[in-house]
Amino acid sequence: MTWSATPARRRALAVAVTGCTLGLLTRRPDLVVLVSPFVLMTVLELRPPGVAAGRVGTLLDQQVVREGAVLEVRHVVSGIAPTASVVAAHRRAGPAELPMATISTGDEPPPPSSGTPPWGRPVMSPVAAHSVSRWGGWVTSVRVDGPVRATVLPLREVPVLRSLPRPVGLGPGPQPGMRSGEGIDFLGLRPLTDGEPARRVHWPTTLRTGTVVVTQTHQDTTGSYLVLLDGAVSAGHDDIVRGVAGLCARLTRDGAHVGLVVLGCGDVAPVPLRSGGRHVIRLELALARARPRPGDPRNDHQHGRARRMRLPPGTVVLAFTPLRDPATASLLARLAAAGHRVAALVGADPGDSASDPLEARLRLLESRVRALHLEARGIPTVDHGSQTSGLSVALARLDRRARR
Amino acid sequence: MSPTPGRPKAPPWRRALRPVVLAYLVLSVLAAGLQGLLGPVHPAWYAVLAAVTTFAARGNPHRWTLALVTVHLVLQLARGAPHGPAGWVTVAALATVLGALHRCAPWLPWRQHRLRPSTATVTGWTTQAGTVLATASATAATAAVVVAPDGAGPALAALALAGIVGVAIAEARRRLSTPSET
Repeated sequence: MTWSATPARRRALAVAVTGCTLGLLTRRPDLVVLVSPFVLMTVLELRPPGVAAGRVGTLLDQQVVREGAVLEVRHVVSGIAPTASVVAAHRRAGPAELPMATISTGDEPPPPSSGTPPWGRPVMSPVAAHSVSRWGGWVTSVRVDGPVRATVLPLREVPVLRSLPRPVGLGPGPQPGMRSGEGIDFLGLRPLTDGEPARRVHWPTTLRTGTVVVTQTHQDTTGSYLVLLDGAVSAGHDDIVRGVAGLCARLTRDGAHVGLVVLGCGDVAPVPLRSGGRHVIRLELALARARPRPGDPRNDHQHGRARRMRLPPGTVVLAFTPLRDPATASLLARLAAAGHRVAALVGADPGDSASDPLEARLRLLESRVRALHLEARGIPTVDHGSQTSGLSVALARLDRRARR
Repeated sequence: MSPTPGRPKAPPWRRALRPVVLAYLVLSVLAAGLQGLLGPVHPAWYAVLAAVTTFAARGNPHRWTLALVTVHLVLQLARGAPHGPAGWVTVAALATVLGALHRCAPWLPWRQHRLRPSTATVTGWTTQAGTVLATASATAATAAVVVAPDGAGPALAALALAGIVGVAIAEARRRLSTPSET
């Protein structure tokens, strides 16, 4: 909310000039007396240079912020004379009003302060200040002294969703679920039951077998997607988070229900399957807290919470994981056994950059063995470890695997 | 700023009569009463003043306040010069009320934001208005008593303007001496 109490200098000047002119022309000093306050206000509104009105500034505790950082925003009222009126101004923080200028890659960003996650693209903090009038005579009870904590959401990089796995089949049309019901995707043939509409009768089979046979289809449903993000991924973590943010935004815009589980990042609660614009913000807030932990990412109790999530049958589960944790592989196997369409996009293990090459090779072998186990259970796995291959390339590989 | 969530909503008449709107209406009624004290006013002009005041309170206050001041100016122009010290004091009071209306007008659009009067500023305004009123009234009374009635006009105008300019110069000097705080 921007306060702009117009001092109306020009109107006061117009009234003063008109009254004085009429008073002089008609020789009526009472007219001059009548407009004398307007003369006074016109003179008083003349301000010398350098004396500005009060300002309401927005201060951030960090000058350079990163994605996922938590900022403290504080409004400060300054430059108000003790005898002048104080008008508080709250500036609504919108994307159009708070542009963020990205630092070029050649610049060296300042070292992050404590609490800043070690990932994300550094951006300059927005600066918002607004001048208010000091000659109002009225004040409002808006509080501007309370600090507000804000989280910098990750950028959205929407991947190519043309090859995104579907719950059943890869054809066009509404998204079919695993349950039988009204729809257009063919499921099978079965005998006629009471109350069945005649348009469902499959006449060639009926004439061939002598019994009335009807067509059974999959029930058309809203697509459900669950994204599993393993925080152990360090190589290309930024790209993966941005790609997941863009993926969630795009799927939600298409009407799908999207959920998110962040593994190995501490107590980040799973986001249940929902849709809508606010849900995208909820997903991005969870993604902003997905900070890679350099230590062992096990035992954060998110696997059990992911297993207990209420997922409709046929939910597409996209797992971004280096398969370093055996609990993650078992979680994917459980989800596949529950009737969900699980796909694993295996990222680079942080152990690749370990000082001991033997340790790195052993971790890589463990990851490959777990990927082979998943392949044996019917879960397609594609490599997402190279930084040059984005999420779109990984999804295209997944699509080719599904078509084979 | 939207009202606090969970706070009970005020009735429509209470929301329409915010303090700033009430102050504006009171000032407008006071100005109309002073016009009546200065001389007889046709009832149609009171209807015009009421309509313009309503438009200012409900519509564009800047525009309609200018129209309101213009109507008062036209009424004074059509009436003629006041007679005696009481008439001049009434004109000075009417001028003060019109100035207060002009000050109040920019805040009418913000009436739904729970504005309340600023004690410090209103005190400062009252001091300024009292100074102007006292200067103009004293000048008018002195001119009406001492100077002959025929020559009272120019002398009164000159003295009133001298008093107003003196107050303005004093205020400008005070503000010029205040260092920049931003």
